Amino acid sequence: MLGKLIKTEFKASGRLYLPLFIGVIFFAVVERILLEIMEVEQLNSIAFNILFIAITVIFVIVIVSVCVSGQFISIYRFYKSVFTDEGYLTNTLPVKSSSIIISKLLVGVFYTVFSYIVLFISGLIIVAGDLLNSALDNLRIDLGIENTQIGLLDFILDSVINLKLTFSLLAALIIGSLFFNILVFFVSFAIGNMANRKKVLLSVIIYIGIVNVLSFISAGIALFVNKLSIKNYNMLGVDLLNITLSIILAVMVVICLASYFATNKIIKSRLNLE
Amino acid sequence: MNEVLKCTGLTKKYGKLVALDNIDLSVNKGQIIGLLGPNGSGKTTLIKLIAGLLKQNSGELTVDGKKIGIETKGIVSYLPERTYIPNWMRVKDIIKMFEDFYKDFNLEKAKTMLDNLGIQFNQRIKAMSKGTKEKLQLILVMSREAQLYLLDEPIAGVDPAARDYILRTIITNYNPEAAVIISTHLIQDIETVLDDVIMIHNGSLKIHKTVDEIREETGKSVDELFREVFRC
Repeated sequence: MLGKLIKTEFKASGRLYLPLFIGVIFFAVVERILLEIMEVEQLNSIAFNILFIAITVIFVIVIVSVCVSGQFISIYRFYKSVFTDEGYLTNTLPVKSSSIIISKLLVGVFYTVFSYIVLFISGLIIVAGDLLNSALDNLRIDLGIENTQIGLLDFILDSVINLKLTFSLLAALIIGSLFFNILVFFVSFAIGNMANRKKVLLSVIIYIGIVNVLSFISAGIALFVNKLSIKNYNMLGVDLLNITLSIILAVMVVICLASYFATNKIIKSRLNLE
Repeated sequence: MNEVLKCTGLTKKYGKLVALDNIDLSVNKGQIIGLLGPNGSGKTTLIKLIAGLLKQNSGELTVDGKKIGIETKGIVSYLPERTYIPNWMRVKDIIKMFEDFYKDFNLEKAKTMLDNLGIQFNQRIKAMSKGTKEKLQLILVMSREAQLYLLDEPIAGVDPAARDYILRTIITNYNPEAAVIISTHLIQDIETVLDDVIMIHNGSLKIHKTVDEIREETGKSVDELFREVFRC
């Protein structure tokens, strides 16, 4: 049944995400064409400049929309399909409440990652061709790389080999934060839904509260590690960073699990549909 | 086993408010039951508990001998007061969803009912009137070969012609092996189709009798008895 839920959620969320994704790619292509025209034709008319500025403004708006919508749409979908009238359909399906949460979480994470990929592709389109080549040339000169076969990637990998654990932890934190944000929003809406009035406002306040608590915890961890470093003066800076990142990651995992189980419990036994 | 629904000492509270107070109830298969009571009497709370949308504070509740959960959701067909079909869908999407999730969904039955109403598979839900959405929802619910149908105020707020259509749809399409619970306060319209009557007031069970028993014992129609029991 989880597969069926994911399929349904993909379709429901996709209709909101896809127009934005198409918009970003479309305006990136238009922007790129305009840049090419400007470069080749050396155009400097007022009309062309106005058109270029207008397209750039729209492009920026679409990019901002994609950045904001990344997680907002999945949170909106969760709220709408579980806690509003649609909840009468969702919550009476013969499926576990945990499957409902997991399906929405996975689809939300997928579309968020996909939105970053779309943004990256739009960036590539803008700097494609000559611009990309000149940027790489400059980089090669700056780095003193004569032989292009060595490649930029190898250089970066060589530089960071000693920071393997740190990068792994950072990668885990970035991936974890995708789940963290969505799950904390889920639990905030689940708690907010138990109120009789101003449910959405309350949910947002709860979310802000949880995020602030996490910030305080992170600051506390940093202080603790700092004190630890004073006591153990032979400790390397990288070790301190790794300890800090590990503890923050552990706290994040605990909050993710707590949010998931609390959301599940509320949907199961404290659902408050109008 | 003929018993499809059983409540024992069922109690549901919202904070300090007791919505259902120690309800003992048993419903058999093959019956159409009217769940009657004034507004706020606890009808919707009872239906939501059976549908698995709420959890009781105390007492036992079983459908077909099973505690409320995924299994019972698969055999209970529930029509809420609200329209729940997402506006972004087309008719074919919601039909596919019911087909995917409910093993007992009868596609042919749904197609026939949709044809009778002239609803197209490709029609957008967004473009439908509230009345058409309600009828579509009823078609989805009655297209299931469920063990228990829960219909919460199916004829409230609709014109007399639509009322006739709804009642006709219920009577001609429900699984005869199942029980149908219809919650309403428009008793005159449904009295003729009812086998049993359950009356609740302030969360307590007042009467649970067959329509024939009511007529024989009181010499009154269900509507007359309702007005007498719930006189303000």
